[in-house]
Amino acid sequence: MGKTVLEAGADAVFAGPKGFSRRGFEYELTSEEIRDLCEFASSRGKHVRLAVNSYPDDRYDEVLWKTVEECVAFGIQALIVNDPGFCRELRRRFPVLGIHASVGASIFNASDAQFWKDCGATGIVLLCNLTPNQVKPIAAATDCELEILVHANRDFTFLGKCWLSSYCAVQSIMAFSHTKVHGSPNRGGVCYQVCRRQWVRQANGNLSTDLPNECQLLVTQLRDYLAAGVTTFKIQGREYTIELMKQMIALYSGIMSSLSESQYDLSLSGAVTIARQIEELRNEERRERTAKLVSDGLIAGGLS
Amino acid sequence: MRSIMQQDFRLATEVATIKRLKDLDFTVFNRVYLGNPFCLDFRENLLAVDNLSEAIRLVNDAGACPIVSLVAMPANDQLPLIDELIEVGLAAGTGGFEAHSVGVLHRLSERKDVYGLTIVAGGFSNIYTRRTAILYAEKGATLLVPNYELPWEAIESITAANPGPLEILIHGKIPLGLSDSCLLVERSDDLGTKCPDSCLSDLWLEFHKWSLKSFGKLTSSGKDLCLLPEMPFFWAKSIRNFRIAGVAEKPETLNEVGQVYRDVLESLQKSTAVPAYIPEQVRMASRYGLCNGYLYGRSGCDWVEQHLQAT
Repeated sequence: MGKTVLEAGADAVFAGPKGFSRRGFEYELTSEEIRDLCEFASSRGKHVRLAVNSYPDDRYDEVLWKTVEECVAFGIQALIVNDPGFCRELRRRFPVLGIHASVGASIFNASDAQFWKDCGATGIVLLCNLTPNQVKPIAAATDCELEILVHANRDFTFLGKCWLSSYCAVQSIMAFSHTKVHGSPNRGGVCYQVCRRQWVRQANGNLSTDLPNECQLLVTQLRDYLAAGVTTFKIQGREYTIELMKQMIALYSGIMSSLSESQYDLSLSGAVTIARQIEELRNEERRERTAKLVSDGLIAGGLS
Repeated sequence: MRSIMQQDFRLATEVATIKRLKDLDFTVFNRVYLGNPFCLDFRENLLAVDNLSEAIRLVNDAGACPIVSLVAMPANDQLPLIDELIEVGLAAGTGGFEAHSVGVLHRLSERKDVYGLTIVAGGFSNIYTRRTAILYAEKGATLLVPNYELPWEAIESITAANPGPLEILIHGKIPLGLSDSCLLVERSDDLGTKCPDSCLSDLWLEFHKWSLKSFGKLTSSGKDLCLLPEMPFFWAKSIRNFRIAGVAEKPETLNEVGQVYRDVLESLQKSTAVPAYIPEQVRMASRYGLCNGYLYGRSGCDWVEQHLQAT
């Protein structure tokens, strides 16, 4: 997947090292795989960024730093992190390494951004619900590289401020010298997406209720985000098929190319149509995966 | 007024309005978090500034410590309000401020006039590691609330680094999710109630044995966390700061449950025996029952019968 998205037009790809990202082991890479990916990226003038976006358990410090040191030696361009203390320690150990505060760091205002800058961050992934106008004060407050997810899933809570999953179901799995706590993305496991269940509301009669959850696929506002100070657009895509990722990258590469041309508005209408088609494909792929996660959560929670 | 000896521990709760504050029993609680930091539209929220000074005075006059709980996730245009709340709090003699986000902590850390006050890094500030606990302490936090989903082993790892005192959430509905928009406002037609009444209604979400309480922008556990049996363990581990979640609870419930915890803490202080059972009034106060799973590395909603023992 990593090599394919780089070949498809992405400038950089994020890779999660085994045990330290917010996904299952199957979506994480071994050190050998990261080295291979770094060599591939380097040969094409592209970059690999390392997603250590859980809150790494203090008990695994030795493995954590060994992994980071290896990956830095392989030539990763940056790390993406959620834990402010980890960010500061990274900066101390690697003075020139790129460090990006993840979307899970819930950076919502200029003061949040300044805090992370002080901790050593060089980049900030903005929350999906920030409008271009809300981005401007953040851009003015720091010189950090600003990223926004053009494709992501938007849950009804702030990313990084949600513990619904681990409240309902937790399953600890030991592998690769770590205990992955499934149910808690912050502790390095999967989110069981309990918000996707049909909750029954106990007020004014018992009614089923869906908690808000939607696909974010930004198309028409890209120029506004660029004008606001965003320099990097990011596609959330670890769990999707290579074919779908290729389509997303082609869509955004096309839009980015047309931004400098007078045909931008014209090409945008076509892009909106393509985005709708991609969204349908994406929802189809996601349905299956969500069903699996929800099912796993029910088992872990003793409901199945 | 309590004696100095009795101040050795702090039992805290949260109160959002002046009306509720007036009904709070200050012989039970000696630290009070003021305001609902999760939603500024909450009816008569102390963070609307108007009543904040009076609230601080009330708590101070009762011999307890008032802490202004600042907006949890302020947008850029709410940052001036954070500064205003700090100014009002300082002028009224607050004992401190609570920050749930790093930006708010950053703003507090840049002010010299809060030096000497209690600065709390709250439960939403995501203290998962000793590295971050130390960082927050260096940024001026004097009381640290570890993330609610941490098991004891992870909390102990933080205490071992000596970042400063920790405050443990010991009872009540666990805050589980914060939203930018209010679920209840979005569904107001369906619900038949409008803001600011919706979140005061008795609204719960259920899925099989799972239950949640929706307060609009804040979603909390349906069950009540109950760490009463673990109090001797915490005491033995030199933890002296405890909180009972109360932002949306009635004062009478807080007083009743809080009294049970205070009695246990005072017994521990005097090294006398504490009851090994959970009193009926604590069980009765919870619609969906009690939970303690997080502390044992389990799902938050679980109840683990075997309790931590100090060695």
